[in-house]
Amino acid sequence: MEKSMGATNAKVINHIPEDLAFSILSKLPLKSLKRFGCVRRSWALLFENLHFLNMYRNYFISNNHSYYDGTSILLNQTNNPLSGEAFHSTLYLLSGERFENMVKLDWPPPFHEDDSFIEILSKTSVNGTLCLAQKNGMDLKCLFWNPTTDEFKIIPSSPFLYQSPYMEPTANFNGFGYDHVRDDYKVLRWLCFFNITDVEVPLEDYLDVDSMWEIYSLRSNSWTKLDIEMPASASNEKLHVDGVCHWWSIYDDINCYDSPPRLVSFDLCNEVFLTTHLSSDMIDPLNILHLTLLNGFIAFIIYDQTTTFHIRILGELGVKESWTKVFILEPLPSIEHPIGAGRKGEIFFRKDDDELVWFDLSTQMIEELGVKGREHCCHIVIYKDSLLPIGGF
Amino acid sequence: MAQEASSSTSSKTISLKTGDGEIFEIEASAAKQMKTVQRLIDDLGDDITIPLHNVFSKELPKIIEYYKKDITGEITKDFEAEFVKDLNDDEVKVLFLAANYLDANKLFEFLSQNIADRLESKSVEYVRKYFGVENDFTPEEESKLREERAWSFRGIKEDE
Repeated sequence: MEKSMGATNAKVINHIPEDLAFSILSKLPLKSLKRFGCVRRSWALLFENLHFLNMYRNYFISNNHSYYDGTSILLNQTNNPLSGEAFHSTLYLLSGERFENMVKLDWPPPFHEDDSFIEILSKTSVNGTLCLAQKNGMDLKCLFWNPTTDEFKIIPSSPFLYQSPYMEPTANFNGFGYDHVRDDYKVLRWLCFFNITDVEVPLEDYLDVDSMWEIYSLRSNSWTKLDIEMPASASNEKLHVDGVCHWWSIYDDINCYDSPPRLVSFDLCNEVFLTTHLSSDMIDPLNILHLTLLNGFIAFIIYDQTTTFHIRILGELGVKESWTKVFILEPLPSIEHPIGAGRKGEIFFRKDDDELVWFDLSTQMIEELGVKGREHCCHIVIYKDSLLPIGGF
Repeated sequence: MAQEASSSTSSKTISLKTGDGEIFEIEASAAKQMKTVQRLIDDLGDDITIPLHNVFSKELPKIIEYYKKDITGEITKDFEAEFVKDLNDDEVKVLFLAANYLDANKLFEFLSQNIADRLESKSVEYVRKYFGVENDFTPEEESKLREERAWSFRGIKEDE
């Protein structure tokens, strides 16, 4: 018997059962999910619903963010030498499903004599170019390098470093990235000056400021002073995504006083910054924070010193309520320090015996890389190779 | 005794009958991708017209079109974009529910992503109606939650 299906269809199909709804909801961005928490009670507590959380996590891990297309993973490792031995930074290219292939890459010539404590700024490449920096006492070395073509370009010294013979600078490289408006490569740096003599500094040699921000532009091949008051990085975790440099700080805007930890996001195009505070339950004096990019999202890996790690994904820049707890990793005994994240939900760690390992979020398995590294000196870099000349011009 | 589904030769087709009585043909290899259909074939044999009570003549041809492309390995981003381009939100919902009923996983995942994309900037009220769910908050609870999550409403046009 033929039924008029029109009206009956409409009624029957109006309701989507909750488990089917979860299939849709788990693919929404955090901002939408939080808003739709107001739809009904059970949706307000989505992230406490294990069934939903598992779907969300699976989708999160398997959804390949375009940021990672064509990328490889580099490991910048520093040894932990015995007394008397030297420090060496070693760069490895990791490949293979389980990172079983580790190929050592040679640093460019300026670092051949001294390869200690080489930093790869912002843990990423721009059009195949990495920015390397080294602070060696009074020496600040900074250069662009394309590991595929071996081309390198040394960044000239800043005129602001030695403005006064009485004051010595220390530098904090806060970021490297790309200004797509001007098609320019930029390096952001914070300088802090100390009085190095006991002698009273003559008035004319006294610097107006004891710290300043400066930015290097490849196009102009020069450093410019930035008229800005901004918290400098408190750690080695600095990132670059889409023209914005991110780091976190425990200092206030003038880098004078301690402040609750906050994410600082500096837009290289318009040279302004945004602060995102951490929610109060993320800030515990015992917590160890590690800023990273997880599958394209800004995230904090938080270690509460009981072998449990939480991962908080940022829902929206500038919104401290939007840090969402998505993953809990436990137990991970002997593991203390994350050193970065890979491309598909791998998180790299350093164990307390210096072994470097990686953790697979989807299988929850841990595997050793077969190399040891020094605390706070090992980092993962997401690298996309290119044959373009540095700067593309 | 259940008959074995014949191993797919491209010429073997299965007849599917919708809830509103229309009959459509589908290649056996495509039918295999819809687990509900395959189960019915296993139970009833592949020479019988398979009844699909909960799928109707408006949706089934579209679903068949998707799996026709799938078995030739031709599903691309462009094809998928084209596939949903002229469908409104309700039409996609019907397809989504049909894909669930047919246990057609690939289509189901694709459509759930498409619906998520469509709903991303929608209002709370729109989403309530779309999912056919009731608001079980008290007015006080709801306004408190909206205040807590005010940031997630920025830039969104609410219906009320």
